[in-house]
Amino acid sequence: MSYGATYSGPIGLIIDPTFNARKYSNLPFASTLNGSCTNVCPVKINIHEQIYAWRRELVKQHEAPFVKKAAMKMAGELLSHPAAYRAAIAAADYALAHLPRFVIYNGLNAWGKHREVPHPPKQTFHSWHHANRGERS
Amino acid sequence: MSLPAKPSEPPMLHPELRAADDADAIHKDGRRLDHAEGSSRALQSRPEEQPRGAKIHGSRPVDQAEAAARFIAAPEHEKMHDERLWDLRQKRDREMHGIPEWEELRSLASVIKEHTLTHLDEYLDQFEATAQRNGVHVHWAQDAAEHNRIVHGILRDHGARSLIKSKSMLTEECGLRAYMASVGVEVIETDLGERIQQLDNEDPSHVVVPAVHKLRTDVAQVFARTLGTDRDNSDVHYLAESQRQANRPLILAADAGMTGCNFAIAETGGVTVCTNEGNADLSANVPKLHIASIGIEKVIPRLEHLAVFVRLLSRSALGSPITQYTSHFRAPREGGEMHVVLVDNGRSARLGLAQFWTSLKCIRCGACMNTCPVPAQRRLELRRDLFRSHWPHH
Repeated sequence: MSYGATYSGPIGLIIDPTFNARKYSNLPFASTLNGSCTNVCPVKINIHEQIYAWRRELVKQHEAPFVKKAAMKMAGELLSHPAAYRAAIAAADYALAHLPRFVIYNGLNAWGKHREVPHPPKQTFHSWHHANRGERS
Repeated sequence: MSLPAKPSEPPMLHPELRAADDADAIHKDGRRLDHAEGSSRALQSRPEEQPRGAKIHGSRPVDQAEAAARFIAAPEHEKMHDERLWDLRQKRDREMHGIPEWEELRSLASVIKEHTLTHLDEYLDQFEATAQRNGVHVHWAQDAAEHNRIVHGILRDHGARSLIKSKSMLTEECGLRAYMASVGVEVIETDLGERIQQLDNEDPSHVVVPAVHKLRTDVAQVFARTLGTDRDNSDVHYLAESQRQANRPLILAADAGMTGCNFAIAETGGVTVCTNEGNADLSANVPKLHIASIGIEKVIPRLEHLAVFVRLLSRSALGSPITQYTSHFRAPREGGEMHVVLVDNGRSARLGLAQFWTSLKCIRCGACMNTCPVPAQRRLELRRDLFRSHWPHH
């Protein structure tokens, strides 16, 4: 019902798109892929793996929204350039520590809707490694 | 009567349902009835209006997050929904730990289903042949529209104007109720939860407990509007009995009956339906005409395989060892007629999807829905259970 489809819940996420891939294109993205569904399934359907497979399938079929695709592309660029990634992390840590709440908790940040954004760590593993083991690597 | 202290077991019930002086809800051995409806105490507060499901705009992508946000914004509903599903999950765990061969049963069930699905044509042919030998009329429907046309055709041939039916996800899939309304056949759901949903003109929200998102006060509103009950009386016994009194005459006068099917047995041509209200038996046996709608993936090879699934189904679904009724229909009743409609509606196409065909193994127990932490934003116990090692202690 919340899905606007006949089948709800995890099994719905993997069956509903076979009825209408466009209409139910958002559903497989509404999962943490924690696998609890797979653990309890009495006929051992690998539900969480199929949810993940549907994501790939729907993106292939161009059923992912533009914003999501653009965000993934940007993330892909960032993650494939270590220097840019580290600069972004440093900037984000600084921003989280110093910006006023209303800048961080607003409509644009879906993460902050029902929870607190985690505190930035004082030191990342990379900077620790650089400081302590840097000369040997 | 005081409750035995059990610090190891977390409370299962909504605090407003826990009333220490409520003797009706306590077992002989001192334990409380542990289902959420165990007490008939009225809710203390006046809850908010029931949030409705996702908004549908044709084939535009459904925004389930919008629907979820509205549900979360209704704290009474969210809390109750959360606790009811968590209650089911806990009871399922208890049943699972009660039988040492649980994992063996799961493996067997999986293997039987995979074998059947990879030989589906043979078993469907066998089922058709044995069913026909038993005197059952067998129909094949390629899609939802054909299913509805076939059912309507059978009803027309018998001059039937009213149809009582037990719960069936397949008929939900086919939009049977809307179709029958358009051709002037009255459909009466006999499962209590499904009847509530029908009277409220709303789809089921869960495959096993279709009205699980409704508070008893919501049901009181629906029944007041449709059955003329007292709007302010949300006592579950009163509501259930009122519905029974209203529905029973319709059942007795119905021209035809319909059931779904949990398992169709190729070897015997039998159709097995599992219910907790006995309503499949009413639907199949009160009228002279019985139609069973069967998704083609429901077939299993032999009667002995049924034992595996019957032991798993209700334990997984409701955390009870078995459904109250496990009804077997193999032939028309004396002087009656029995039809089965075998429905594809996208299933054979799904069977051809290399990554997704095993989703056809599903027996619709709903265990995955009851355990999922996503719809439950605050189901903390479960999240602790899942992420125990990462959970911060406050």
